[in-house]
Amino acid sequence: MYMQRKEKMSRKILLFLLFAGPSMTLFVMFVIVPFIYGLYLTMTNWDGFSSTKEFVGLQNYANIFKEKDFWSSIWLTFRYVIASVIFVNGIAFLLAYLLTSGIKGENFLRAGFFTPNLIGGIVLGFIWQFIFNRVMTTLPIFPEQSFLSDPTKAFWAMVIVETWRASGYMLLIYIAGFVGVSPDFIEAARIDGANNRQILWRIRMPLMMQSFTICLFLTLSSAFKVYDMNLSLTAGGPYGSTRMAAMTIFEKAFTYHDYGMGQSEAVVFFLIMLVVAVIQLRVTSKREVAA
Amino acid sequence: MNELKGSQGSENIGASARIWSGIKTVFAFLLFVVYMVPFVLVLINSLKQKVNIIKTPLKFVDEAGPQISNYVDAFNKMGYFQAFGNSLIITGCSIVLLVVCSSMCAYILVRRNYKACRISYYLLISYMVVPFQVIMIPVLAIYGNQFHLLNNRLILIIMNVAYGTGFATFLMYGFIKSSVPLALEEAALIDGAGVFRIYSGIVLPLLKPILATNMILQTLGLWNDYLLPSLVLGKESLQTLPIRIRAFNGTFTSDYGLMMAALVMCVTPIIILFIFMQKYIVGGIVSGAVKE
Repeated sequence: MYMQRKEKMSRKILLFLLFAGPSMTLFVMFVIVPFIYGLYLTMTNWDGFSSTKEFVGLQNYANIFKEKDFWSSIWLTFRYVIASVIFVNGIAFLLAYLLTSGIKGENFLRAGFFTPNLIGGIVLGFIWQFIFNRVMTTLPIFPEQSFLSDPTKAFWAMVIVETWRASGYMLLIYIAGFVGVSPDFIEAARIDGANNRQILWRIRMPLMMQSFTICLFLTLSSAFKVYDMNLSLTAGGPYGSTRMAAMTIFEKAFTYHDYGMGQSEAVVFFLIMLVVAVIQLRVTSKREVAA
Repeated sequence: MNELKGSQGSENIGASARIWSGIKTVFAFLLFVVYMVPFVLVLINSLKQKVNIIKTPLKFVDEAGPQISNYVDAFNKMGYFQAFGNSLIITGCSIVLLVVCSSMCAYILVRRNYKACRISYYLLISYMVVPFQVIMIPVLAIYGNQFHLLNNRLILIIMNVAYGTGFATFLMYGFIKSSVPLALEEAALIDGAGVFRIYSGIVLPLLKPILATNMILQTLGLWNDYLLPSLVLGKESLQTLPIRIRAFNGTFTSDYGLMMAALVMCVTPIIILFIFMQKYIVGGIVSGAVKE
């Protein structure tokens, strides 16, 4: 193969810089350097303005354990992640099953369910704020008080919006999974006397485990990082009861001007998310079977 | 995307199966209607007077006829034209740069086994598990507080490339590895073509499908992006649609007619794009996700 020819060091450097240079320079400038600088920031008490910052060692991390607001927002985010993952994937899977079972207008429906994904979190939040505050309150089947003015209901309002948005996206991936299962396996199982439910549970689901791995990872990480929709739908209210982790970190740094603490919280948030994502990927990848 | 067409029900024969399939169709369409309700409500109310929105949000038309004035007012008051232009420039430039840089980067990472290539690859794919929140504060501290580079469209475009390049390179890396035949490149090499010539003349044209996938995924993400643009673009004349709609909501929070019209205007461009590009978008999402 030609690329195994001997190349001079100077040529290697030139080629690398020419091709990977632009991408990698930007990546280093805006990801690697800030990431490392961010670790340094966690050991200072910088407010973002003053010209001096004091080095405080691991004091910020020690303080995080006493930050009740931070942990309550992490716990809230956890519950939000669990609820969203269950509803988004449950509904997306059900829809994918429906849409691949030979019903009419499949392509049209698939495009329709996907539509909410075209719209950003900010606009989605405002659309639903109107629905919750102005439309549902006038309907006799809902209470007169808006969902968004009650802490528990506001939490579920966020889950509803996320489910409405993300299920159409995951639907596409589940449909690809359904279609990817060869009809031969289904046929063989049917000849062996398996009923529809057994075919779903024992044949289809194990064979489309890769779709589950992807969808769970995507829903998990998007729910963890939720910010835009949180901001426009509830703005953390009522009384800060729906302030998710991303919003808490943002406010700590930019509203209360505590870059040191804000960044420490961001690092802890990152580590928590990383652990959860790795566990999820391990668990579901292990169940993937090769056809 | 015809291969995505369902094939499950083909074995069902008989009247009861047909009824069952009818029930499923009706159920799916009912769910579809439920999904569409929020859009319809925003659309019908965008053409009504404030009093009537509050009194009867479910009514389809205003007694006084459709209030086109909501759109005119919202268009002017939110500076729609400018915000739309900003969104367009920022999204467009970011995507072109991103696709060019990432495809070149992916090419060298696949075709050369330098140590620098291997390290770059691992760095780029690790970024996929890093939430933006952990980069956000130091980025502002460095490029805002110290170098004063914010409030500039160009810096946002560059940042978009930096944050998109991990995923974009990863997608193209997989594509080049699996679908670009090495034999073609070897033939060109024997004919005396240089590396850059091979990339631009042979590899790049073969990358069209994955370039389209990347462009689609990035368009949806960047057009709707809020957090990073809101941090970088403080100056009003530079702001994109999502930032402007939030500011607009702050000012005209109880002017429901205006707000609904503004929302419709924000959503329309991307919906039009979707209608024309539907096939590619759906295909792009699936191929992008399955590679992940």
